[in-house]
Amino acid sequence: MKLLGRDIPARELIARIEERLRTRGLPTSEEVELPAEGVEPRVEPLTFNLHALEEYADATRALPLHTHRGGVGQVVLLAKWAFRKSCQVFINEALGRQRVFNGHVRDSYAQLSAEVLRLRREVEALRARPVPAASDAAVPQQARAERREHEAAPSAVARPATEAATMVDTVLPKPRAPQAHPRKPARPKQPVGAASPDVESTSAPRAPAPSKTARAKKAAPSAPAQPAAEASPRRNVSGSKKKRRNKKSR
Amino acid sequence: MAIHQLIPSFVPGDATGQAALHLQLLLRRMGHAGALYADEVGPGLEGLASPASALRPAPGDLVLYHHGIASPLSSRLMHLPCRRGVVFHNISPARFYEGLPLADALVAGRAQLAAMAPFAEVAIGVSDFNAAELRVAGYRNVHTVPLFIEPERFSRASADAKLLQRLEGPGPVLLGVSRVMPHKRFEDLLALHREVLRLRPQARLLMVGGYEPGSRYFRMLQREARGLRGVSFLGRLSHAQLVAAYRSASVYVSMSEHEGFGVPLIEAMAAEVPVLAYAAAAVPETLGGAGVAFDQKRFAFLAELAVDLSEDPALRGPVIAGQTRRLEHFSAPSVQTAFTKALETVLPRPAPKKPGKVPERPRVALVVQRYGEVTGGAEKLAAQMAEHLAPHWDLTVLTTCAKNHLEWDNAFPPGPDVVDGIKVLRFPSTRVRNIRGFNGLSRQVFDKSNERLREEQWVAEQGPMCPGLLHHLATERDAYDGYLFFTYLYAPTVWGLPLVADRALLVPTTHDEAPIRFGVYRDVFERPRALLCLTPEEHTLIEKLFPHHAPTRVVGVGVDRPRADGARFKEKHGIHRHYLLYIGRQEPGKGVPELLEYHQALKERFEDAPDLVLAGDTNMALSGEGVRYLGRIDEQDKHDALAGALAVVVPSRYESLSLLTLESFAQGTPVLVNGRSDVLVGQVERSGAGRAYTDLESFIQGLREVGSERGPMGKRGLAYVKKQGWPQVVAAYREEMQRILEEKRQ
Repeated sequence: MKLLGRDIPARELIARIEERLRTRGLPTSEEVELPAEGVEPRVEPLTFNLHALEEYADATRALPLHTHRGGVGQVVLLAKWAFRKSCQVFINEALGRQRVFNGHVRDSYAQLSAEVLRLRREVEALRARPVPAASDAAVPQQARAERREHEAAPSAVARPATEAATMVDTVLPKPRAPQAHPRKPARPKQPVGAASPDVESTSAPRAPAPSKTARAKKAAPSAPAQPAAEASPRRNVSGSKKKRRNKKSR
Repeated sequence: MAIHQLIPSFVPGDATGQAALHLQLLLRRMGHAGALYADEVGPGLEGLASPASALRPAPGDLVLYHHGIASPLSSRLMHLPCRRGVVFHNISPARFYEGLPLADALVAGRAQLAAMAPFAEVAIGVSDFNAAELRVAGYRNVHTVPLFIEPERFSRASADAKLLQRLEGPGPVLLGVSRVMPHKRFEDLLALHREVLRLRPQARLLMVGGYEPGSRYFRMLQREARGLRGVSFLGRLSHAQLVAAYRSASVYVSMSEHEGFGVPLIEAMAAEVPVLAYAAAAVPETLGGAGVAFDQKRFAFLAELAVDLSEDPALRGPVIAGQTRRLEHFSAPSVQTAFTKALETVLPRPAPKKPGKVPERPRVALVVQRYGEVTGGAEKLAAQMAEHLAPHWDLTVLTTCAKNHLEWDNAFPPGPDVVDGIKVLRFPSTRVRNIRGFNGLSRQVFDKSNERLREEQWVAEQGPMCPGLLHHLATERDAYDGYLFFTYLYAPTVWGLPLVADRALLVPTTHDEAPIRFGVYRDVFERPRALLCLTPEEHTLIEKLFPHHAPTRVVGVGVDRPRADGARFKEKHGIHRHYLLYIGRQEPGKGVPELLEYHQALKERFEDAPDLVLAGDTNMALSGEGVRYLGRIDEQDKHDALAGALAVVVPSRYESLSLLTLESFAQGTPVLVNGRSDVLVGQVERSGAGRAYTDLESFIQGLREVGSERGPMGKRGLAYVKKQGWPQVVAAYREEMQRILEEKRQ
């Protein structure tokens, strides 16, 4: 036990109180679990947003049944469950278009964020290049400008697509295993915080950025380490597979 | 360049909103104008904050976004076409809310924080702990600017007397203040209280903070508290009640597992309550060695310690003294130093001053809430001063487009104007006052202790709201060598004067009225270079209310003595009897209803009672036997009326100086004044040219004496005003302005 305070005789005070506790027959030292210290880790926004879009893109899927209330809250939960059970078919009907729309938003975001990551790496790589030697001064200005332009241009062909895909894997979330019971209310997703391995991987220093082909770019958000078939069906097609799944489960 | 602030929510009791308001105060002191914008604006606060969607910054403006839990404003910030900064108030770690919907919003908030990093030129953490999180999130130009506190708002005098009385009783009294949220660990407070009860069976625990009565967490707390004596959930309290809770406590206890700053810790320090706090996150930093922090929740031990802190003066005294010293770190000047340092990194450096000559004809801005063809004592004084100072100064009047001070609707066109040869620059008022709502708010906040938010709300409702004028003051400060503000009460002075305080004179026209006791007026009386008072009584009042006021000088006013003819007035208006006269704004705040009541009583008792003639703008019904209301009258008519009156009545109790009294003296007419105004009584006593009344009997008696001694009293009044001439008054103003110019030259 530590007491912090400039204006108190900390040691004397602790000794005095411990003595009193002994007199009262109370233990003077207890095992206490100390909380985690330190600041919270960075949450990579692009990864987090993609996770969140994936989690919430399907507007027909029920949110986890939850209430912050006791007592009456249980009744509310039961009512929500009953509503879902009896009205899912109507919910699907009403929100079908929204689900397709959300899927497009998710896919667009995935493509754009992958592009942002690629560009960031290119900028980093360009910044990391050594400063031109003094002899460069002799190169005509136009030639230098042309060279800069050439260096800055996405050199998709020059870099292997496999390398690009590997890079993407380190910054974008891993696909989740397909759900056996898609209609069952999902558990709330793990916060992308200290406990999330995704964040660790995204926070790690990145290698110099290679470029990637247009195909790799498109595949990037859902480019998994495992075969494409294992990836969540919601990731690739905006709505069509999901619709079938809903029908099946009915 | 303006510095705006963007806040997710601006509602009473929200620490972020309060922080934004505090930063706005500092920004004004630093000479920057700017407004508050919020996604959610609490009811009644529309005058203080605009909807976030209305934010249209100029490219050079800086927008400071206050970030906490996830908000769509973070995305908006990244797309604003201006310079951007983030003020980080911390986010509770999601680990406390795993499996709950709140966890998502907490993590999303952290993701947003990281996303904004490349777009922010400056990042401010309200503690070093928060600043460290900003760096981890990817920010580069990171500074710590703590929140500040106004300790005087936590004095015993500021406490709600009723609650203070209700909470009286045996101790020790432990107090916890915060929202009832799981990571605040109210259950640990209950566990501590259980141990304290073993030592002191009469002990009490007060828990203050908003809660959801039906929430699972709160119900759990209730269940735990059920078996304990002396536990009170006080819920969310008003400011005065909160102060009463602090002032009733023996020890403030924080068991919170995460604090990015811990506002209640410094509030407890300001309320002179020893702090006993779990050393989580930023808590040790905020305490800075003051109070007592502990690292393990051993409740039996802590109970002994809490009792010692409550009862042992040898322990309690030094802790409170240390806390008071620590508060210096959270004072406005100290925080302003840190804030200035942070902004210096992004603001353009001011051009170096070149010592120059004192201008022979200095450029001076006269700032007043209305100007031109308007009724009002202070406005009239401003116009008279402008007229007399114009030959000596290159004068520009900065004012609003309003004519009517009740609604502030724009009656004059905006832009440059010329009134009686004086240059005038008018700015539109952006809000029309709802006088009924304003009166309701006044009843809520007058004669009570309020937090700054409420007082600022009152100032905003009082108006006139004129952002263009404030922006002009902030951006065109080098266009003027000095500023002359009139009247302490209105928004252009309260918010405009701090922007240019280093070269401003204020003619406060101080009244002993309820709002002058608001803390928001401290800057108005403490920051200008000099206060120019109209009477010695006004000076005394300022001394009493603002012990740290700026240098003060009694300058008085000059009085014009045009030729006048009372008979002409009577003939023109068909008045055939003696009459009492009151000229000015005919409204309740000026004591007109009481005057009407006394006059009716006079008419009922005495057959030869004089009539009552009233002139000036009105917003109330003026009727009764022998009452004549003439509306607005011209200057010559006014002086004729003064010359012909039996006596002039001044019924207002809130006067800094009565021009009407002096003008009446100038026409040799005695006065009958409200005896509850020290200023009026002083004027009557010094001149010997009138009587004061405090009730109907003294009104009648005073009228008798004035009637019988009208001639000698009139002569004394005339002699009194002859001593006060415009040349002396103008010389006093010029001397004070010269002082500013000399300093500016160096």
